[in-house]
Parts: sequence; C-alpha cells; structure tokens
Amino acid sequence: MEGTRTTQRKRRKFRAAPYLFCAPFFVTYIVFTLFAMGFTFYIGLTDWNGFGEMNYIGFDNYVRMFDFATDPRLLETLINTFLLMLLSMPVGIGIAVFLCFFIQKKSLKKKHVFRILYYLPALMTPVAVGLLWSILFDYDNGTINKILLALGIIQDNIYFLGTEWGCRFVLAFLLVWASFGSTVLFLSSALSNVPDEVIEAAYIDGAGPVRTYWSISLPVIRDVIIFIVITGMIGGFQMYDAPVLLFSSGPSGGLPYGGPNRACLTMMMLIYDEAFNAMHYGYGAALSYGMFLFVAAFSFTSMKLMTKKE
Amino acid sequence: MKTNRMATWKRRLVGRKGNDGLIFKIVLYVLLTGISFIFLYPLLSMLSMSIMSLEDLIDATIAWIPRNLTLSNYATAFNYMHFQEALKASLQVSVYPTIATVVSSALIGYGFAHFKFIGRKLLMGLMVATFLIPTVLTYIPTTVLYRDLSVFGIPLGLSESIRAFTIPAMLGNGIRQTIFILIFYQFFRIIPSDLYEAAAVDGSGVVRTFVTIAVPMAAPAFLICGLYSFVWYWNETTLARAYFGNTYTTLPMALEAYINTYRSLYAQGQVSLDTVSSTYNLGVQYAMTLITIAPLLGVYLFLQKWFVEGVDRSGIAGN
Repeated sequence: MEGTRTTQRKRRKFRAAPYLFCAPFFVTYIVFTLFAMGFTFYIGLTDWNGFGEMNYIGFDNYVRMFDFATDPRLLETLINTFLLMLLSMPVGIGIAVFLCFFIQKKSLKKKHVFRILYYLPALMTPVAVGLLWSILFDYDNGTINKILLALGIIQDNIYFLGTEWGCRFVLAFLLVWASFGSTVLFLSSALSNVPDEVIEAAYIDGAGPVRTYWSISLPVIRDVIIFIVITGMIGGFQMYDAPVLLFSSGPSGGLPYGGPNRACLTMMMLIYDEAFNAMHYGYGAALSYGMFLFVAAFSFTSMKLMTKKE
Repeated sequence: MKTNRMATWKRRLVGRKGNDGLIFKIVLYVLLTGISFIFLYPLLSMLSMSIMSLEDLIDATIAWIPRNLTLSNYATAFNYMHFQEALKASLQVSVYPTIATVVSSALIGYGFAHFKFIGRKLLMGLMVATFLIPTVLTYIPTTVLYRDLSVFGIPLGLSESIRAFTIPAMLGNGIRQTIFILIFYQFFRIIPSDLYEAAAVDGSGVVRTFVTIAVPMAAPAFLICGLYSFVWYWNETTLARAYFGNTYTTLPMALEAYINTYRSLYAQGQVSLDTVSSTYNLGVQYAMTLITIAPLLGVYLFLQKWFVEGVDRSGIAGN
C-alpha cells in the first residue's frame, strides 16, 4: 500500500514526464506523417513536375488513375501482385509448413544452423538479390538454363525473363527464396509455443504425429499464418529494388521497366517511375493514394475474412 | 535370438513412436541440407566466379573451381567503387541513424509502457496505424522537405545524411521505426512494477529510474533493434537515391551504378560475354556484390542468434 501511494505521488509530481518521452514521436508524426500525407494529397491536385510551378488542376489525377481505359497500369499492378502472391505464397508457406513438421522435432540436432541459413537472404541487399537472379535466369548465360540443358530437360535455352509468365515465375521464385527464412522462423517459434498438454492429449486420443500436426498444431498457429500472408501481400505492393534490377535493360537485351508487357510491374515501381523518372509528381502523388487505398482495403478485408473463418 | 536382433535393427532404422529411425533421420538431414544449398548457392557461385580470371570466366568448361586464382577482380571492384569513400558513406547513412533510432525508440517505448496519460491510447493507435501507411505516401513531400526547403538544414554544418536520415530517426520517425518502438514497449511492459516502486521509494527520479532499471532490463531490445536498423539503413537505396541524389554514394548505390553502366554498355554491344573487358565482366560484378554484402554477412555470422531472437520475440519479418 505504502509503495503504491509513493509511486502515485511520484507520478503526479512528474506529470510532464510521459509527454516529454512521447513528444518527439508526436511532433514528427504531425510533420512527417500527417502533414506529409496532406501535402501528398495536395500535390495530387496539381500538375507539378517537381521543380516548376504548381498549377491546381482539380481531381484530374485522382480520376485518371482509375480510368483504366486510358491508363490501365494501376489495375495491372494490382493484378500482378495478386498473381505473384498466388504463385509464391502457397509454395513458400507450403514448403515451410512441411519442413517445420520436422524442424520442431526434439530429436533434430543443429536445427538452428538450418534456420540461420534459411534466414540469410532476408538480410541481403535487394539490389544484390535482383542482380543475382537476373544472372541466374539469364537467357544466354544463366545458370538455370545451363543446368537444365546439362540434365537434358530442355533442348534450347528458355527466355525466362523475356516472357510474361516466365518473369512472373522468376520473381515468384525470388520471393519464395527471400522470405522463406522468416516464414520458417515465424512458424517454428509459434509451434514451440503450442502447449505440450494439447499435443499429449491428442496422442492419448490416438492421433499420429502427422494428424496431430495438421489438425491440432496448425490451427493453433493460424493467426501467425494469417500474419505472414498479410505482410507478404503488403510487401508485394511495395516491392521495388529487386524487380527493377531484374529487368534494367539487362544482359538479356533491353528488357522494359517492369518486364515484358509490364508483367512484373509493382505499385511502388509505377509510383516511383511516374514521380521521379517521368517527373509527373502530381500523378505520382495521386497514385500513392491509390496504393494506400488498396493496401488498407486489402488489410482490412483479409483480416476480417480470415479471423471470421471457423 | 535372431528375430530379436532383427527387431532391434528394424527399430533403429525405421523407428518407433516418439523415436525416429535412422532412415528417417538421414532423409531429413539430406532434405534440410539440400534446401540449405539452394540458399547458399548464389553466395557460393558468386565467391567462385569473383576469383576467376577473365579466361576462366569465358571458358565454358570451368564451372566451379577456377584454374587461375586471381584477386584482380576485387582490386578492380575496390577501385571502381571508390571503396573507402563508399564505405564511409555507407557507415554514415547507417550507423548514425541506427544509434538515433535505438535511443529514441527506447525513450518513446518507455513513455508508452511506463506512464498512463491522457491521449496515450490515441497516440499508440496512431503509431500502429503507420503500418498501414505506405512509405510512398509521405515520400514526395519528405523528399522535397529534405532537398529544397531544408527545414532541418538550418543548423550549420549538418550533412544530408544527418538531415534526411538521422534527425527523423532521432525523433522517432526513422525507417520502419514503429516496429522498434513496439519492441521496446513490449520489453518495458513486462518489467515488474515492484522494481519501479522500489526505485521510487529510494527517491530515484524519472531519468534515473529509466537509466538504472529499465534500460538494463531491455538490453536484448537494444541489440535486436540496433541490428535490424543497421541492416535496413545499409540496404536502403530507394530513399537514399531520392534524398541524397549524388552527394552520397553508398556501397549498394555504387553497385547499382556499376550494374547500370555495365548493362547499357552491354545493350549497345560495347561489352559482351566474349570480349575481354578488364572493368566490365561478371567477375568484377560478383566481387562488387560480395563487397557490398560482406559487412552484413559478418554481422550476421557473429550475431545471428539475435536476429533470430528478433523474429521470435517481436515478429520482425526482415526484408
């Protein structure tokens, strides 16, 4: 009692302290986030090119980006991201779920070594990753083509990066590779938190290890899987460096920005290209609001859908 | 007797409930090692090609082991990148912001975790909402802010990296800083209130309580946040390019510049895989890539436990 009263008095005495601790955050939140967001919206109402005068043009930019007949690119980036996620997520999460069945076993020695190796790509500079994969899947000289030729699986080199689905496949593969480590870490740390009693109860009821894993452990960690899917999707919208480097007029002979037919153009790439390469700051700003809309809408609906299930 | 021994062997090979057999273990290790190879392959092939001479690179019969070992690719790469300056720039744009991020995140996290005050819930909600706001949404105004208006350029002698990276980080608005604030918040929350009360009884003030009680208890948070912050600032090229233009060339930016030159020369037909170019070839490209990621690999090698811990405790996704 005595102690609590003392702290209460202390707290009353230092009432300014909490605000002082949090003030930097609040001030910058106003300047860097709220003001910046408002300013971005305002830029979207102009035809600004970044240096010259800002002419107010109304909601033209905001209307134009949803007019898919004249500029289908925003819709394309949305479809691209969904396709990429459909190609990469089931595979990545599937393999991780499969592996974690074994990794969680107590008999497995040195499991941390494997986890550490799988996590390595998460730290690699995205520029380097994009470069590496463009060389791996290069048409003339790529390692993958060499291996497939040597094994006799193909007769002629495959132009992976030169076709719509080829480059989608490459980028999806890259995504699986880059995010696999963190998926495994998330899953295995969640699995280690599943209470032993639950597992033992399942064993007593006669369920085998596979059955227990599938029907007991995985449903318990469902939230973690949802988290992985949502963050992966948001990451997909914002992906930039790796896909840019994959296609920047590469050794495969002048591939367009975003790949053939813009098949791998992400939202972030579109915004960056409009604002900083084409110097259409106004349209770029409007597009970033389009992205915000999609990210928010996606996060909310997927969270609603997935938490309601069952 | 014989059947008994057979049964023992069978049990060892195939295993029984709760105890895995040898066959299972071998399959498992082969599988895990095979997958590890996929993750290591790019690194290994880079390493092997970066020490190949030009002749070996062109020679199709040489896949892994170079006939002539050479470090000339590294010499070329160091020269081309202006290694010392690039390293200095890289450290400048990653170390200072990291220190700023860690200190400010600790303070802000402590503020939210330890005190109850009016508007706390609202502020925390606003903070978590930043996860939903894509960085691009604030990207153009902040770029202009740092470049033209130089609101933060008023103090004399501050360089661009300080203005655009370190000051926002100091104020709690660095790259993906929300997650660091939340990590500290979690750490500070679980400190038993008895400790604070004891300190208060001893007449310890807010600052002293923070430094002597809270900070030591959250030591792992400092390490985890510091490591991830360092990696993310080191790897940041998009923001760096927008904010700094040509004033800084970090190692990843130097690598990018080299690749772009190489590729445009290649597209114009000035360099090809068969022509011998001492500056523009795959060996140099790989050497440069390795130089760029080497510091990260080094840090990871020694402190991997803490990276993994970061994922375990807080849900940092890396990347």
